[in-house]
Amino acid sequence: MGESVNMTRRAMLTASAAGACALALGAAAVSGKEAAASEASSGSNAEGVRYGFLTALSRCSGCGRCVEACRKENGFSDDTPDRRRVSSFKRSRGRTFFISTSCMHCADPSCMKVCPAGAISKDEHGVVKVDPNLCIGCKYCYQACPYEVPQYNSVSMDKCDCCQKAGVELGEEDPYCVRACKFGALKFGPLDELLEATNGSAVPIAELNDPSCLVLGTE
Amino acid sequence: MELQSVWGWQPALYLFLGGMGAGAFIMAAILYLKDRERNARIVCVSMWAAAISLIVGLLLLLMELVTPLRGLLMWQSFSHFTSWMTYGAWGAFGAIAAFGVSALFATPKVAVWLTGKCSWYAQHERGVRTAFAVAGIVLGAFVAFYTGMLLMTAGSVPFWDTLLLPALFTVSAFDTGVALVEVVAIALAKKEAVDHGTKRFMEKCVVVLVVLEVVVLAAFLGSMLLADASTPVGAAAAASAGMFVSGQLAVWFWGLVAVVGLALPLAMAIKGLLAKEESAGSDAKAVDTPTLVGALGALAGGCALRFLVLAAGIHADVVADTIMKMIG
Repeated sequence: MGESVNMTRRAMLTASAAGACALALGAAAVSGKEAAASEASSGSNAEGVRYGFLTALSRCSGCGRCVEACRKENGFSDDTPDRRRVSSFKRSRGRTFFISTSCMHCADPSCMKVCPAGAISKDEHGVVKVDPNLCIGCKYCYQACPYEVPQYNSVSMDKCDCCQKAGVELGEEDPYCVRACKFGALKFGPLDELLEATNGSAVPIAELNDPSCLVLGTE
Repeated sequence: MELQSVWGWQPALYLFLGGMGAGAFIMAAILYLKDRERNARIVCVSMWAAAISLIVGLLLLLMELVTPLRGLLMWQSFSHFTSWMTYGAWGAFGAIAAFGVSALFATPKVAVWLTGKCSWYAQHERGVRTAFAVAGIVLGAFVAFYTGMLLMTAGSVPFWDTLLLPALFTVSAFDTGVALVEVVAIALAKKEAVDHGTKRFMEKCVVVLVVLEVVVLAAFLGSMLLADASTPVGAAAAASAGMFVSGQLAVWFWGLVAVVGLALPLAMAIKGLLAKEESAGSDAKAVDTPTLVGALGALAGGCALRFLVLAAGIHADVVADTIMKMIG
């Protein structure tokens, strides 16, 4: 059995430098199907379309650029924890894999259900958002989230909103984390199109709450 | 293994104080309903202690909030009725009102002033106090149960995700509530010695509640230890329970919860029950050391139980499970 580790942004940047170089070579060979997914995602914003992330295990170098871009472009205060995290998983024989995750924008978000103030909502694209003007910071949403996503700063709970507050229009452009990924390890778009682009080989990252995040295996 | 730390000491203490306060009010109200004349001072002080416990607990919970002032705007901040926290907040608010009004009515100076000022109250005092005592019992039972429901309905912490947890916290709330009333009775012994029958009644309550708590605690930990460890949720539940019985929390669990919080009060209550039969006529105003030791042990154990349950509440790593299956 292998092992899994959550790494901090700084450790990630240091540790992954060598791997990033190696993967950069392979990244040129982004599959046509995944590229098609990226294109498809940029044109579809019909109401009711469920958006989500696709993360490709074999492509993530663990460089942490997605985490940096998320912080920078969303203008985080110093006391705001990272919205995105990179975790490493070591295969029983050798290679270490990385995966970058943030809010799963679940179809059935338990954070929304347990929030006493009704500060968490879900928009027509399935993006789960928090209203900092309503949030009291009770941290019940953290306990309710199977993915331990909600974080807290001195104002309220804070989590990924697919960069909408930073001005990103869904369907028009990708969130900054996706744009920052040089290796094509992160994609964003309508969930069904992301799945189709991988020929159905991507799988939900887990089952709990029906997350809007797919993982593409080691190919 | 890393312990749960997002909810720190304030929520843990709130769960204890809320439960203990609710339990103490229920015990005091039962004493009042059993006999409206005897133990009046014990009933009065216990009701005040119950109200203050709940208020202090809620203030601690407010301290834990990122924006405590917004939390005070209850109509806005607790308006989403899909959350048990909303029900709990309003239930606790109602309980404080019922406990506080009952405590005021039980206070001799207030009662004298009120009966002098309001002839209607003078005529209906008994009925009004009974109504508030019953309302307080209902709301107290809800608050005691709610402290466990708050954790259970989070839903994503496997160790908390069972009805046995609210059951455990409810029994423990009643147990610690009786302990608080016993401590009050001992503190007031020189002014108003508790009558023999009431003492025996509380000791019998301790025996029943401790036995019940042991059964529920064993079922709770047993069900967690036997969870299917091949799934991430089952593995997290078993890991949490493992921390209790043989892991990093085991010393605290066995020492404070099992021995000090359960075995000691049980032994002292049984000792008290046996001793009463031998020497019922002993000095009622002397400090009842065995009862005091048992009650303080129950309070320490009940408090430790909340801290340990919170600390062991780890999430299952469901993402790691998917990834490890993929990479082998």
